[in-house]
Amino acid sequence: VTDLDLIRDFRADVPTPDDARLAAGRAQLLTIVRAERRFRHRPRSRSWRLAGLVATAAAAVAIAVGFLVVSATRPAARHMAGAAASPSASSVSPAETAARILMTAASTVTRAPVKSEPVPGQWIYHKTVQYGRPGVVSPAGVSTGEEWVTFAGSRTAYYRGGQLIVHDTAGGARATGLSPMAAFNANATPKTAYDAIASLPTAPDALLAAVGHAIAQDGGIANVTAGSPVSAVAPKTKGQGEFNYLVLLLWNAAGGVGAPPAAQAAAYRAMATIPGVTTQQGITDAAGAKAIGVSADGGYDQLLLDPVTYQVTGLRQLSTGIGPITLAPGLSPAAVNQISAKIASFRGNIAARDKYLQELVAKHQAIEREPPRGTLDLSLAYAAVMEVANPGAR
Amino acid sequence: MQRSLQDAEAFAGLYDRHAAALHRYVARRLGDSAADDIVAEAFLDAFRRRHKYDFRVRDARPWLYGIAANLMGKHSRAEVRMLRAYARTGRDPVRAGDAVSGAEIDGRLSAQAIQRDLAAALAALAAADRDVLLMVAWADLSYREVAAALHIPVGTVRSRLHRARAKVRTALGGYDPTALREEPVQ
Repeated sequence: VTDLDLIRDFRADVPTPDDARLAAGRAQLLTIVRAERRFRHRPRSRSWRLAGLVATAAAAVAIAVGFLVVSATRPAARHMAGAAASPSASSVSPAETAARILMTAASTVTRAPVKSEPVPGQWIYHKTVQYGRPGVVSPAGVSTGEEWVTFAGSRTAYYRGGQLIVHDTAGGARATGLSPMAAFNANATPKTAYDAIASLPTAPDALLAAVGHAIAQDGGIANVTAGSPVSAVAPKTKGQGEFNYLVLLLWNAAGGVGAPPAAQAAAYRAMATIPGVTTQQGITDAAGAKAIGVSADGGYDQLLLDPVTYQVTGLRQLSTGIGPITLAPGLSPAAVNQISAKIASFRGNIAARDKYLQELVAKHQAIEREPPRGTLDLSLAYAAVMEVANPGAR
Repeated sequence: MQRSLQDAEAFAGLYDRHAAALHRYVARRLGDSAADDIVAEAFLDAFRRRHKYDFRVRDARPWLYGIAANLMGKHSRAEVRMLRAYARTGRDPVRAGDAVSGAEIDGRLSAQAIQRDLAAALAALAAADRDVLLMVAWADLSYREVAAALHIPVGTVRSRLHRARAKVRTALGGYDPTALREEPVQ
């Protein structure tokens, strides 16, 4: 019995509430949802991570053999060998290269033709392609989705069972009296993203300050992007937060007609000044197109740009390789005790402990849930985005 | 193609999937009537922020538990007060119906002694350390999920958990879990 076991038992008799107890909260929620359906312009939900399954399996282990979870930082050398996808591999450019690429991107998009801002009711067709690693996204593998949205997000449409379904959403006209950044915070649509980027100052310092202000107004960076396809984990630095917010703006704008060229160029130039920004060249997005990955966290969360036009094409996330290790089911209590004692004996010697944990994994006495660092977790790309006359048109 | 959370039924699905476990987690900390309010508010908050969150990417639990942790933060003093009352009296305000006297059964008595020590130990933790400890122990979140929920680095999760567990072990009379494992209670 560990201290954690004792804590797990503490108040363990508090019951799970029955449906009747939860009914009031559910009814309240649905009332608000129905009254306030707002357009959410983000890649659509198709699945849930099978965490319930993982938790159940872990519980089964706990019952069978006692429970041990150890967080391990794996030896880097193990992942460097043959880690083609590793963000630390040589294809990741140092900061100077990243800055140069982003400056090239800025001057390239500046030369793109200026498109006038669409009218709010303009229909836009999207085709997205997603790859998800099994265990992270279900269905795993490659899947595609199609939908139609209006520029201001007040209507969306999609096919279900061969029939076109058009939704009205209450989002488009709500954001009255808000600044463009606040309007985007309140309701992310192609239009609010377009207007928000267009409203930013062009000087990098001033632009990042404005982004920082919008982040603060929205309750801090963690509210903005943690857990989204922009970033798997909360940002660790102010610069990462600003980068993520800019990615969020650019990605949402890319779901419409992109950002105004001058404003998009300013965003790229500001990104180039963020400490720790790196690029990875020679990769492909989920739709199979060549791409350059831009990242502020060492390459784990990347914004994907077309290497010729430097327009936004996708997002992807790579595994950090860090996660808990769980003892395999079926070990005898004696084996569990022996392993626990051994782990405890390492005390502060983390490197030796992690080496031992890797041996456990190799001997199938422990299971690691995280794949090696650099493994592709998720990749998301726009295969097509175009203005169309009406929903259902491609 | 499943619709996004602009659909009422999709958000109802989120509630149906997670509300009961979240409610129990909050109830274990603050009692069931506070849990009613906090869970309802957490889902409304989640709904308001849904466009910031992509539901196909990750488990929603860290996100929901993070929102709940934020809401529970306002009740931190009440939580500590109830834990202290439990430690002092052997009656747990969180389980209002559970008024079993410690003297009723011998085995229960010694179990209660540990429970009361534990309540005192939990009350003595810093709120941030307690959040991490209980998310790991009661919500079964991984370090990385706790990090995402509380918007802190994974390393901070580790150090808070380590500190919290060390304090709990000390408060329980320096039980060494490694030593205890030599006599496993299966």
